[in-house]
Amino acid sequence: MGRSTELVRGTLDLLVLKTLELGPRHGISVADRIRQTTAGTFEVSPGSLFPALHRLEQNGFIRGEWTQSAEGRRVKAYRLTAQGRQKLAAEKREWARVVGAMTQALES
Amino acid sequence: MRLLARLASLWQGLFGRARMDAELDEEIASYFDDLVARRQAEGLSLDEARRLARREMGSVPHVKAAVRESWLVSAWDQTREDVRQAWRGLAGTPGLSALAVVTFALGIGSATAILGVLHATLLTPPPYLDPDRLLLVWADMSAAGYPRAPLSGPELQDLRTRTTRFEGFGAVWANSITITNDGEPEFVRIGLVTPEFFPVLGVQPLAGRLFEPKDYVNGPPGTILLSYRLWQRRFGGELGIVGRAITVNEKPVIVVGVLPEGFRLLFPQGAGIPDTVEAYQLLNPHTAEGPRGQRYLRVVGRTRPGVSFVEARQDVDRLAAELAREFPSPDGLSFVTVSLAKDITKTVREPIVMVTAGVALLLLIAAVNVLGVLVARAAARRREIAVRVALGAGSFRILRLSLAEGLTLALIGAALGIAIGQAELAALLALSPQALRRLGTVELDTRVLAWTCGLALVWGVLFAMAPLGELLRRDVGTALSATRGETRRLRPFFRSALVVAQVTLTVVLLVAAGLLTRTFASIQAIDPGFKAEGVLAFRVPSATPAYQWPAAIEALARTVRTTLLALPSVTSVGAVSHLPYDTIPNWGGPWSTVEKSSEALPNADYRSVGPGFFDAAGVEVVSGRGFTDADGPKTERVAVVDELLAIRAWPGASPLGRRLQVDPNSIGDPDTWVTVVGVARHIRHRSLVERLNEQIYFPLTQAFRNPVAYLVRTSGDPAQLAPAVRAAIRGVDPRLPIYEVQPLAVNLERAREVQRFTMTLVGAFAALALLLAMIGVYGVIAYVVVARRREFGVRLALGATRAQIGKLVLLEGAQLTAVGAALGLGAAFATARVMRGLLFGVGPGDSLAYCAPLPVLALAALVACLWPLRRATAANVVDVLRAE
Repeated sequence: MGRSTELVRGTLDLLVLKTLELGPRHGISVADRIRQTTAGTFEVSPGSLFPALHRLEQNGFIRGEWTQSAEGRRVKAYRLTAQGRQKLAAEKREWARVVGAMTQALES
Repeated sequence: MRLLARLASLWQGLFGRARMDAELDEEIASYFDDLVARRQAEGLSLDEARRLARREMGSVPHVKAAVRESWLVSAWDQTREDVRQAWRGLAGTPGLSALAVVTFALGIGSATAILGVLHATLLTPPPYLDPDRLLLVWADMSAAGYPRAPLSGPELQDLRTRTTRFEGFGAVWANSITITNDGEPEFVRIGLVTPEFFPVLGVQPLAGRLFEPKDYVNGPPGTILLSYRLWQRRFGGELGIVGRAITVNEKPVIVVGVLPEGFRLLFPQGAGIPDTVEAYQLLNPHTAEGPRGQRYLRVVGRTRPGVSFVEARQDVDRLAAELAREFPSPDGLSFVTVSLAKDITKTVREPIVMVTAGVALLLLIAAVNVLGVLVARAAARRREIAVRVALGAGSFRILRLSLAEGLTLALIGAALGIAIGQAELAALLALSPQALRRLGTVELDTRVLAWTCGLALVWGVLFAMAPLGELLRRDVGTALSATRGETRRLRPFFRSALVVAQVTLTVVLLVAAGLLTRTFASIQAIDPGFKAEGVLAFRVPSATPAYQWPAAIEALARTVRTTLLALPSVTSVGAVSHLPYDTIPNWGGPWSTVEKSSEALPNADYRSVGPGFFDAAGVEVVSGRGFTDADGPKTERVAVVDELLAIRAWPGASPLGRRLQVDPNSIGDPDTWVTVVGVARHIRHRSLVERLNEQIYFPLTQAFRNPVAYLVRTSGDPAQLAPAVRAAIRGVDPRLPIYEVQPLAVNLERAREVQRFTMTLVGAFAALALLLAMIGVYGVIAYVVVARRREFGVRLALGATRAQIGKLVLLEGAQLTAVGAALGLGAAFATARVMRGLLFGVGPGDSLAYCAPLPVLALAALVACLWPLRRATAANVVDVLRAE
């Protein structure tokens, strides 16, 4: 398991959007993907993953559809909407700005 | 189709909570299965895998709660975002938005005020139990001039015993008493009732009991029921008063009970039952034995449950037919049965419906203006919307935004409108329409406000829908590539149509206001036959136990008159049994020039008057004389008749010295011969507009009435005379209660108040409508001027004069107004037929009422065009052409 960090809400939303950028995924595969891409730094528990998914869906950024998983089970897979893509781009820019500013501030 | 799908998902979001919950359960279960499957793949047993998966999963209820919260939060966030965007959109065009809000607020505010009136009057039932089952029964004596005459005691008894569809009948007659229980003597109007009266109305006492037949046992009614108001005012709301004696007309009378706070005696106007009845006593126990011609009982019946109005009426009509056979009379006999609840509002229903229709038109005009503004904004925002659509906003998103804008606008308008409505209602109540206020408290209570909000919501949705056609046009490319100028059509057809509709509705209101104004002028111009200006009226008992019939009463009357005449500025004083447009029961009876006539006898209104009455009232005595102090109880019985009776009784001959048989004791048959000593002008004393009965005056000394009213004519302001008159009466005898001290002109005003009310309101609405229509015309013309700026610039450059350009602009305005006016006159002509019942002295096709609005409208349209006109003609050619 290793050391993991609890995610702040906005960051988790951004990570979920990013995870779905390349194609639809269902719940556990989103969590797996986040753990992989952050090299295990961020461990997403169902208690924060589900609210995040539903929040994003309600706001129209992602859209869930019931499909068959690779194992043949019925799962709810989420995909990015057009609005979600815009949101992702905007959030990325914002993130870069904040990180840039923080880095600059901490290194000065 | 996509829009439908979106709507479906919104619906689900709002109402499909159960399904969403079920799906969430399934989603979580599937996640859990994934976890288990992974552990099993790592080689764990099923049980072990499940145990670990449960630990990783954490608390499922906790997860679900967090998700549900996210649903709520995002719904709230979205709403807030919608409102924020709507607000930003509205604030982006502050002028237009403010115009729309104010316009709508004026419309809905007026509607709110009128809803308040409607609610308090027509929509609130009278304060009785099951009022729908209460009917009034009158005798139809149209031949004698009384389409609704009261019934006699035997007739009441017949109704009680010989009808089958009724639970019971009660009767009331208005009278007055003086209460002299420790303190100032106080005059109180009372209802004399049968014991069944309150049970029929369905009233329960607040304290004590109602009347019972046993109250008759000790001879003349020694009991009284107090209204809540009198109980509070005179007896401090003390329960101890029940069962104790109070002093009524200087005799002890037992208070048997107190009526509840919500109860008040409310009868139709003109029924002879004042609204100010504050106590009740029992009618004479021998009521049922009185003569059949002595009609004084106002009879109310309660039908059995499930009996329809028609069945009840047939029951009463059948009885009337039987009675007509059993007691043949030259007049015949028929009863009029009416619903009490409907009859109470009879006099005000038409005016209120008229005013409500007026305000509905006004609201429509206001809303049409708002629609115009919104459509104009939508046209101007097509580029912005096109950008949004290009960026992926679906139709649903645009719809949501539009809805948020429409509702925000409507609700701000409604909030402002309620404030406006409150102010309008205050102004309206200052008109003091007694006929309205008697029905109920006119106020904006929660139910009225709920109506207003509902109305605002409906309009809000309509506001949201109107610009959609403009907003959702799919030709994004065209909208984006077009320059601003090209997106404008030269003639905004939809908006022009809206403005034409506005002008049409305005003309309808203007014509209606004109007709009502002409009606009021006709009524104002009616000569009532008396002169109310400069007269102060008041009432006082003409006899009390201290002044017994006849010598003391005569002496009292003489003293009162002399004392009043001695006041400075007083020119004449006269007593009279009834004031014009009184609320107390009318007094009248038959007259005949021959003994024991077998024909149906005509009826006349009777009045008892003292010396000086004709001078004080300003009623001209055409020939002969009025009464003097010489006409005493023992002298020859005399009368003064009005000119109508003189002509009818003795056509072509002088009535002076002729004899007339009359019924001043109201026993139902003429029993007294009087000699005519004078002829007075006919006065309109009961209604300004209806055909009235002939009038006969008796001297008070020969036809006693109690109490009486005094008319005091002054050369000064009658209202300022009041304190001196009160002091004078107190000087004569401090035990005499003096009440209803007010200028006689107040009574005359009351006779015109319904017409004044209708005229003022419809007039005000018409003026508002005109203002709103001007705003509408201005909006379209201003738009046209901007759209044709380039054309005007070219024309100017090619040598057109500014006057020619001005003419073009005015032509646009004139076209809109002319079309609207033509349609409006047609619509008004149709409407006027419906409001015929409200008109007096003017036909529904009155040419002045139709022509007068036209110059007003033309002027208003001209004013509306002025500013755009200035803008069009002041344009600098070079600037205009360069701007494009």
